[in-house]
Amino acid sequence: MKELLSERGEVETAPRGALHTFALLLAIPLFIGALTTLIQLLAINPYPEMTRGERLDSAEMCLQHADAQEPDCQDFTPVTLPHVTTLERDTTVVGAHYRLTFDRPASDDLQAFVAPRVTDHARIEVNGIRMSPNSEPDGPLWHDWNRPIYGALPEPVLRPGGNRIDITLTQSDIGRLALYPVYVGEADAIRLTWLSRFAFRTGMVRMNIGLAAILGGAFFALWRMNRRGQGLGWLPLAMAGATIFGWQLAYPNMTPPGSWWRFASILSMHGTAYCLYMFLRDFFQERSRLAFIAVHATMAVGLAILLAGQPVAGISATGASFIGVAIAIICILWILITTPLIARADRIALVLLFGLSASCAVTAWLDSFLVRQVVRLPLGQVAVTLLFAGISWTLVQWLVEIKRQRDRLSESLRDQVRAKSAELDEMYRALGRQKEKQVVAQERQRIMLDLHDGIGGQLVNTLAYLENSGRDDPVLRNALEDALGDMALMIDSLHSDLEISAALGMIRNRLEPLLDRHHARFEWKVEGDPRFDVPTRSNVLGMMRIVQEAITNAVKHSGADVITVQTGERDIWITDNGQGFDQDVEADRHPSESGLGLKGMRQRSSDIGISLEIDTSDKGTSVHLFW
Amino acid sequence: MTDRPVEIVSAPVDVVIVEDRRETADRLARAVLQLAQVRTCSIARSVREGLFELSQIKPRAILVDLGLPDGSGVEIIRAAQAADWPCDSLVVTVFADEDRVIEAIAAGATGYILKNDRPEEVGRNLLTVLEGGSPISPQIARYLLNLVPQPEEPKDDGLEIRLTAREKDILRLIAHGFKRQEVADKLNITVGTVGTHINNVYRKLEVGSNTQAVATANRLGLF
Repeated sequence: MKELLSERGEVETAPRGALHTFALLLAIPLFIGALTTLIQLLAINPYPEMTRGERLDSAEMCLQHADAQEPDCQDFTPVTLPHVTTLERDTTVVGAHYRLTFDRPASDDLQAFVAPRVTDHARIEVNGIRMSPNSEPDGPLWHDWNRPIYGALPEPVLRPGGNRIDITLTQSDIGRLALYPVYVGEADAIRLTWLSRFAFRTGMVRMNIGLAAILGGAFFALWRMNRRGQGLGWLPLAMAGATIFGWQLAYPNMTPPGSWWRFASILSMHGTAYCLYMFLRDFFQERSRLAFIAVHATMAVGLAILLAGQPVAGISATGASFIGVAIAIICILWILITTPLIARADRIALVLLFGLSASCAVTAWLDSFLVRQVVRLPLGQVAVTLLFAGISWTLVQWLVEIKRQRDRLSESLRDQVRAKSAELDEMYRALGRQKEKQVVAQERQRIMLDLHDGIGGQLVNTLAYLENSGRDDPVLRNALEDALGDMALMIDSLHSDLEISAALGMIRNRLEPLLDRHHARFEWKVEGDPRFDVPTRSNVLGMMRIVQEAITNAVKHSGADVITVQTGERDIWITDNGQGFDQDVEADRHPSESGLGLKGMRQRSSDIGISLEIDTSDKGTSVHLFW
Repeated sequence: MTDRPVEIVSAPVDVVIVEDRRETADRLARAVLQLAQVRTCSIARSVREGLFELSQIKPRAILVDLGLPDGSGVEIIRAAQAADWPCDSLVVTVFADEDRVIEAIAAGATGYILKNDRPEEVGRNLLTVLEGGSPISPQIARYLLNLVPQPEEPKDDGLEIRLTAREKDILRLIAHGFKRQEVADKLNITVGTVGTHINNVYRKLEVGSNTQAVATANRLGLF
């Protein structure tokens, strides 16, 4: 995950230094405390007045003692609800009896009552008639602490004028008796109150059990798919713990008998907190030894307190044992705040979610274990729901990130494949072109060589015949030699690398025998490296033909004995010391009489885009090619 | 390759010409027989006849046309190369173009004869080769220059030679058409020095003659 997030460039470096850490560790409990206070301030009055009913918050109360016979209440004490009686371990108190009175409302609508919250079991009688189920005096104790109690008050139950509600509270192992304000009023409104309170408390707890079971399965599957890292294996364990203590909270009357179950459910709360810490530690690759040791040490201490069963600093053993859980929560928040692996937005959301969850848990703990009732609205069930939301958010964020990375990877792979394919296509095309070129070149070569072997050989053979037979015909000989010369030119141009000097060198090599025969010689002044602007093969061949023609003309027709070939940057001169010629007459000569003739030379020079100047006199002729 | 001073070969030699065109063959035979050093000159008109003459006469030199009716003269050149007596083979060509000369040299030819050259030239070229000379032409000079690696485009086929500035100058002038004597005049050195430089270039190719140099290039896969 580190790699994934660091690519986004949103990694924040964890704060370093002991002071920083200390400040942060101090800030986290303060933060949770502030949130807790805020929640309690927002829940100004959890038991408000009703418009269509009456809130009964004053009662007369008396305690029942084990040795006393029922009914025992002679001296009632007026109390205000909510009213809590904390029972010491060695108390003789077995129950509390409350008597509430209300006037019969004027309305003819069906009346009802709801006791939103009681601890632990409530036996309710209205005008002496028992209204609550599961409250037979000799039956097993039925826990009512986790849900509101509703009862309809049909017409025969109610009396005109004053009516009386008697609520008898008993408990088994909670250590306190508590009654909160009771509502009496129109049945539909009362029922709505009952339903909404039931949904918010009992319903949410039961929903949490379902969520824990489902998430546990999902996390287990996730872990099976990704066992290597991220500590996903801790999550199913945490969910199993949540399911166990959730069961205790949701169905206290459907738990295995015996005190071991209660012990197990407390232990599962510790286990859940521990597993969550371990998960986040592995998931965010947090490596603080201090936190690790602190969590383990306090967990061990908590366990010891739980086993010892002795109150610590006025707090019951069970309550005190949560010290480990508290440290785990602080460390969890510490991880979330300091890990460099979360983007800023996600960090804020997660810290808020987990912080809220922690403060809700704090309300539940305060409500359960603090003797003085300071909490208006305990929100243990909300804590668990928020916790699940936080875990899910973390994982979803992770999965989304993975998907994003995978998409990006596959996108880049696709791009690469596309680019490579295009490259390959281009390569194939280039190869095709290359091959085509090669084939053309090879074919041209083959044709030239065929000509060379066939026609060339034939021409030479005919010349040899003329010589061997002694029937030398100058016209025929000239024609054959010209044809041979032209072929030589074409073959040379095949191998020419388009360098004018080299082409001239080859021409000289070819024409040297001709000059020998005519007792002429070259004055060779090829200097520098003249180049055509567009040095194509056909341009060079054209130039070679003009030069060859000029030299041949000079040798054959002018009677010159010195032929000078000279080059400049963009010039070629062919001059001779012969007798010159009449340009008008020469121009009209048929090309076959003299190779290309002047006309052909001019035509060719204009074809390849170079200029041709011929200057002739009785002192000689100069042919000037320039471009 | 016509401008090398020729020394007289004393021992009389036998020569075989393999050429299917009668008039050409006759003319070459006359040119060869003009040489005092040549004792006999027989003519073969096909690969089969050529191989037969080669084995029967065991000539000192064999002149071979490549395009023969029953195959390529390269076969005869190879046979001459493999012979157990010294036998120079020369390719007989119309144009002495690079393709033909190199093909023959790859097979083991040690020189070339132009079919249409004047009889004196034909004889002179034959003698040059018999004396182990190192003839050169503009085409071959150009080819050698192309073996020099260009700094801006390093050859990756591994075949390259390092030439001194003077050697490059000489090869460039020859490629541009200058004769040995003209090269010597232009560079203010003797003709002999020019020849020495050319021989040095050949030695750099670890061979004794330019023809073998080209053959080496061919073996190394340049063509």
